Amino acid sequence: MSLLKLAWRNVLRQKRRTALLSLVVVYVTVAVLFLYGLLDGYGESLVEAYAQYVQAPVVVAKAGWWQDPDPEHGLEVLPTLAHPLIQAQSPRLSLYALLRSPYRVQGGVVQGVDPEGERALSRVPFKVKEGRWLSRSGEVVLGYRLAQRLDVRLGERLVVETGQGALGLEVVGLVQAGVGNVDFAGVYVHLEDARRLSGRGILATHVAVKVPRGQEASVAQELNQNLPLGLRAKGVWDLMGPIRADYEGSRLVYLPLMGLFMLLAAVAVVSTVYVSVRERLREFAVVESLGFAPARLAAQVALEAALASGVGLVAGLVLGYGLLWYTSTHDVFGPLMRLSVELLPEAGLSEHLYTAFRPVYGLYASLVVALSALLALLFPGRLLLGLEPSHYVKGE
Amino acid sequence: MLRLAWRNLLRTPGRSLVTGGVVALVVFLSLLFLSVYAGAFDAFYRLLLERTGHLLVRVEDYEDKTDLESLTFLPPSLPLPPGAEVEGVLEGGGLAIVGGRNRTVVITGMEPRGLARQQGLLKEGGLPRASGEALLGEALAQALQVGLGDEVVVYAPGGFGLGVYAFRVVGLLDFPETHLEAQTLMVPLEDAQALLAPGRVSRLEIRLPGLGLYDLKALEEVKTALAPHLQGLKVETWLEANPVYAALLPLYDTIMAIYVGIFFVLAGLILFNALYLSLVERVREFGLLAGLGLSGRRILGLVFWESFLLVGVAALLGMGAGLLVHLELADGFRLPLPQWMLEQYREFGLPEVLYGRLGVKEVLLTLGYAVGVALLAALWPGYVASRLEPVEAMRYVP
Repeated sequence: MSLLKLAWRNVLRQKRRTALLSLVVVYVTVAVLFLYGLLDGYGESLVEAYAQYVQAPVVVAKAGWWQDPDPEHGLEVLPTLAHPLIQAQSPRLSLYALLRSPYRVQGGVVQGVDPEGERALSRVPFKVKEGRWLSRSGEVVLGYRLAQRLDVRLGERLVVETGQGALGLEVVGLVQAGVGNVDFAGVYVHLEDARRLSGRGILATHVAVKVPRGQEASVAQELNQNLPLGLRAKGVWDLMGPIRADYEGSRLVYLPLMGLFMLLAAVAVVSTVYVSVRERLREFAVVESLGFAPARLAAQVALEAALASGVGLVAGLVLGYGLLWYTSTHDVFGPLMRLSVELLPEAGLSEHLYTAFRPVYGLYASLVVALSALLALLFPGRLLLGLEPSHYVKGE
Repeated sequence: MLRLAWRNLLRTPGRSLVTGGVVALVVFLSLLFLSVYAGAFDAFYRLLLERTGHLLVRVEDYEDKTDLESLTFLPPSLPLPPGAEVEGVLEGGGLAIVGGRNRTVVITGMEPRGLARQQGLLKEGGLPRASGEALLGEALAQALQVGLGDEVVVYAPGGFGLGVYAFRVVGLLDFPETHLEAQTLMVPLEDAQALLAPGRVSRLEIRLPGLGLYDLKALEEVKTALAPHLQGLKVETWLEANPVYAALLPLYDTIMAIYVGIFFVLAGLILFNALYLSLVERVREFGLLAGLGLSGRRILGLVFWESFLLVGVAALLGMGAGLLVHLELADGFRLPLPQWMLEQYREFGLPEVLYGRLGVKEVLLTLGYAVGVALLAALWPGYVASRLEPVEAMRYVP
């Protein structure tokens, strides 16, 4: 305790110097917190988009369908899925189809859904911007950007054609979900209509399953152990397309960079501590001649480095979490995300990105304190280990 | 003054080395970062340019038109500069049907020159040489379960052509983007016209020889010369035709400046610390210099020289190392990421092999930051040193 008190007093002896080196630590702490928050926020926005809008938290389909998503590999019998964490499940039937409005023809993937089942599973039904969600067969709900492209409005008819059949469906709703795949390519029809359009005796191509957030992979894994032969479940991370690589690639690039930032901050702290130790060599010599072990003195220097960087860390945590709070509650990155959605409409990006806010980031940032202490022990601390008290006490 | 500043830096070699090392590292990393990102951006844009040509001619207000009739036109003859090539393209949507399977496709009708440009993407088979032959994306062929020599029926209602046409698959294409590969069907222009819109094209692609990726001024000149000859049509540069990509270009500069700025703020703070420590250590010395008659301005100059020398030497070293690595990158490199990730990045149009690019702008940006950091970091320590009272400073005890 006395060592701590002594170290703290020494840190406060040079207030301006401590404040300056704290600035470096504050900056790095804010950078670490913000970057972690941004990366995790990006990951969370992808999970949210794929689990709630584009796909589902867990999807069960035939192994053949995962390889070749054609109705040929659809489900003739709907599997019974039992797991305590399953909150809802609903069959879906996806088809490749030609969409014909009175003015335009465009290809797309039609999603046959059970209107009520979908309400319990997905957020799409709640994002209808104009009109209403599906209620019976003979209706279609479109992403609003797709409707603009097809030049089709509420109440008009859209012809959906597959090689096996065609149906004229009434446009009853336009969805604006803020997720590229839904707004630019979403086509939702009644499951019965999709079955008719498939021209095969299948009930669905896959079953979408809702499970609590964060449990997707484990539930999929556990389901796989009990599913009938030929069926396979996948969690949301496995359902993501190439955008997952962008997220994981970003982590691979930026996390080492943050490590480098923390190391440089620690170097800055240690260089200040080094000067401080050199200024006080005589003081240390006196203390050592009074019976203090050199190792204890080196520990005191390490403690001083930790305390000095700790001051910066605390200020950085306050500022960094303040910034994270703001960016986690305000859509600061919205304009950039909207541009990204326009650029990559089928990547599953969301138009909104909020940073994550987790206490653990503070723990990561506090590594700078540990690094500072370690480096202080190695460099200025070593100076003290080789100190000759008689030399300095004499004032030479 | 310069010599004095240099000598002062050498008096604390350890600290000068550490601080200079940080600055050099930041300059090096900034150049590396800028080279890699510019290379990635170029690759992204080059692919776009290759696909669209330098200039595109389409009907006026095509953004607001929806039906094939108003989106297509009879190609006029254009007065083009020597060496320029113009190709008509007709594009439309349809359904490719094979037995019980079907997939939606984008039918692209191309002239022989346009089809020949796909040679590099050819995975199997050859190019269409006669009417009724088609190139399919490999993923599309897999989805339809067809191979070379098989027949695909294309159903494309909504136009004013035949609406249905049978093609024989003669070649399979391997695109970097699977989603594109899964819907690509390329056929001779005459076949596409018979299917969708006889005699018409939906765009003219103009390719100009010897023009670089960002030679937009030269493109503007050709565009201006063409405009009077286009009645009811509109000519756009490849960037104008892709407004989202065009919006990215100015954003890219800002984002890069912010990224590099983040590195330099850290370097600046570390330099600031080092200069302040150096001041604290030499308070008595500064007091003595002032007592001997050195003006506050010259003391301020001394601190600035120390900062500029330290940053200058470090920046030169960092830049040298950065440029050397850049030369390597300019010959082509792969991002140091796992193979599966690189393959996924291809889906966004980013090839596995990139070519680093550093322009004058990027080098000046880095140098500008270095100079700015040297200046800002020295301001306060220099000011404090210049205001020292000689007697008080000489009595200073740390």
